[in-house]
Amino acid sequence: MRILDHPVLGRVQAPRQVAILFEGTPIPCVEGEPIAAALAAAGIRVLHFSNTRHEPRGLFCALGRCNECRMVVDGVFNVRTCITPVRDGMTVKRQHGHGTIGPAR
Amino acid sequence: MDWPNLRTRGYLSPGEIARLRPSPLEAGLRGAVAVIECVEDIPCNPCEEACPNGAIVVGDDITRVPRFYEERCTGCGLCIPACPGLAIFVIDQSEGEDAIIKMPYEFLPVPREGQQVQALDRQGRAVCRGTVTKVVDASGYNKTIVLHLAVPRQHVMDVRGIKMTNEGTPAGDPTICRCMEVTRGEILRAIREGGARSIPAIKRRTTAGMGVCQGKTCSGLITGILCQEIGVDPECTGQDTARPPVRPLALDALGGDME
Repeated sequence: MRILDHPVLGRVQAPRQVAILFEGTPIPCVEGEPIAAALAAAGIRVLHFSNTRHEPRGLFCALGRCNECRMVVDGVFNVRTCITPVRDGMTVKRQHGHGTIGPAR
Repeated sequence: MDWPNLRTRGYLSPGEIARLRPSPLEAGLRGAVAVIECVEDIPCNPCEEACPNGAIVVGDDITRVPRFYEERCTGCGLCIPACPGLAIFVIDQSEGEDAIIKMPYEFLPVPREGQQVQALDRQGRAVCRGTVTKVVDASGYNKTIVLHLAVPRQHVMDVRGIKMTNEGTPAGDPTICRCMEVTRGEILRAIREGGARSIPAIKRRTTAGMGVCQGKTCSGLITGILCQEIGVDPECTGQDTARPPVRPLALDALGGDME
């Protein structure tokens, strides 16, 4: 679900379509939207698994404070996907726990 | 009129309640009647519009507090969901052992009719047990539910809210610090058994607030739990030291490279 006609911001003008790879699957995105927004629109709600209890975690605060949406983006751990815009061809993976030092394999 | 307790703490003190006119202390003995706990001169008059009997008058100067004509009030309760400040209640002390308090309710989950709940005062402290006798969710109420709560008569002017208990269930022990996965029960144990009396003391016993978001999500919740548990004001709970970095940062941003 995307808001295409906003009461204050007006109508979205001809959004440019791009795509990211989520766990190997292409996800259609609107250029400039946050990664988490594109995943939500595609029905993907589990973004990472907590470190101790391995509980599924998803979008929580949606403004970059809580870190619940952090994922592995282009091999970098702990990227807050709610405030990181999509870029065409980005690879996005669910993160398990805290991540490790150095690039993800 | 000055309302120091409302201004500084967010709820009317018993002394401030006693100054309301007409005094609610005698109200509801002959049947259901509204109690309007509205004292602030703010531009607001939905209560006047909601009353079909002209019992509530604000007038052309809508910053005035409502004047209430008790003899015109039928206790219908249409004013309860209309008040944006949730400041109107209907009380009925005319029947039986218990008094009935009709109150607005805007939380989930909604209690069931017949459910036993904890009755709270204006400050949120437990007063007594109460029984939800009716749940009114009318379309015209714009998502504000009106609960009918039966409580012992001596508490009719104290009870203004409810708390449902779910202790012992998974929902009764929710995760408070999401980063470090610390539950409410663990925080309560740190206070009750560990003797923690400040936010840093809870942090040292449980690691709550030491995760990747550095307490931005949980510190307010933990402050609330601690204040409720030991009966202090939020300014007495001590503050965590804020430490950089305040957001996830690649090590090479701090100098050096990833080799």
